[in-house]
Amino acid sequence: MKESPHIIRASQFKVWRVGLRSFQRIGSFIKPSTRMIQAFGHLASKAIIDINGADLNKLIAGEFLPVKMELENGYVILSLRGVIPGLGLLIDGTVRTQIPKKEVRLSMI
Amino acid sequence: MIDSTFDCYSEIIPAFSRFQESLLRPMPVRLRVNGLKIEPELLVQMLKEKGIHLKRVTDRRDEIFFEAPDLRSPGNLLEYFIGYIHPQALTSCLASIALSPKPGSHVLDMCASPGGKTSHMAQLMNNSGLIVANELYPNRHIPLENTLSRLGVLNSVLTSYQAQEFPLKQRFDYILADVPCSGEGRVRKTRESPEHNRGHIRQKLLDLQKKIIIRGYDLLDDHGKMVYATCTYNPDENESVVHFLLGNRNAELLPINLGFHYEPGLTKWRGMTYDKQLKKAARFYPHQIDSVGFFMARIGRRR
Ligand SMILES: C[S@@+](CC[C@H](N)C(=O)[O-])C[C@H]1O[C@@H](n2cnc3c(N)ncnc32)[C@H](O)[C@@H]1O
Repeated sequence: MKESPHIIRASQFKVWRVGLRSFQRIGSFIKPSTRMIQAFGHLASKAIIDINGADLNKLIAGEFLPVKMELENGYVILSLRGVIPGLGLLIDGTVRTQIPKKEVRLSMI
Repeated sequence: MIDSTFDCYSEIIPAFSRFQESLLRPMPVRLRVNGLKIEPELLVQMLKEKGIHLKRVTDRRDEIFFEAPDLRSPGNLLEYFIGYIHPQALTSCLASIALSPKPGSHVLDMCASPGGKTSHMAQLMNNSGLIVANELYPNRHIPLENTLSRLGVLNSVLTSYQAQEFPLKQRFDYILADVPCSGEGRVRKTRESPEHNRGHIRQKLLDLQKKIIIRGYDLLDDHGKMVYATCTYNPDENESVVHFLLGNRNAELLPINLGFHYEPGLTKWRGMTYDKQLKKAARFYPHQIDSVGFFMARIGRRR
């Protein structure tokens, strides 16, 4: 990657951001960014939870949703008929949204 | 009420009364579909299911650009948040198309924020190659970063140089100089007046535009292409700046073929005579294209 001619060229400048920020460290966790999940989440083959519009509404309103699937606790990809709005956090059979509140509004759904 | 703000251009803008009338109409809502994330037909279908009908802007250059007559605030759609759409003026879209950077190429966007054209170029390049998106002001970095990340742009690095002093370390295949300007082309009478009053454009701004075009040219590869663009009608910020480049560098103007109506650049204005090549530049007027008034010139190195 570092050998890529594009990276070599870019490294000649004083750069304050490269590409798309993909992860963020939160304490001892590494959290994928919403934008990275929106761009690449469709390539994932596990930890995907299918939701409908009403579910997304509830999540954005701050509610927790029960999840019947057998999944480990942790970040999951929310998928609304194949469209990926962002991440959820699954803890003991319920999921809450990790989508930044200031960016998504109830009126959007 | 039609006011006299632009009367000084009555001799250069064709069908001037129609131009004046067009300023009384609100700007139509237009959307670019972000092909980096979704196929246009799919998006059209998704919005149709929500009762939002998209209309192609023309039959010619239409694969990504739509009008949304029954949509007031595209920023309130989930499809916006997910980065499937970007509200953008048609003329602003045409600037990236006039440049048409090829996939894999090296591009410099000298004045990039809020990133409408940067993200469109990334789309034209299919997220390959490299775009150096430069924006001087830190308070403009946030909107730039938000646009690029929302639209899933991966091939960019962001810098913060004064465009007119962008380091001469390497040359680029494509350069966009979408310079700060008086913004006259954005004015519809439903909106506030442009920042600067006509005739009182600050000399500093005109000098800056000249410095940026010269630096852009000096950063251009031998076979490179540059687009100089503004959203103003003022010849002092348009033809005059390009004329300055032609007088100081071995540059040539290249034809612009977009399939949309535009008027040729001026070769005369208020006692000034400009290089004849300026006829190859493009002036877009709201009564002809129902969008933001715009100027662009496509520039190459003379060989
Ligand atoms: C016309 S706007 C660019 C719009 C942008 N290309 C787009 O399509 O979204 C010009 C930008 O240049 C920035 N700017 C002003 N002076 C500059 C300078 N000397 N060097 C670099 N950027 C500058 C402004 O802050 C502004 O964001």
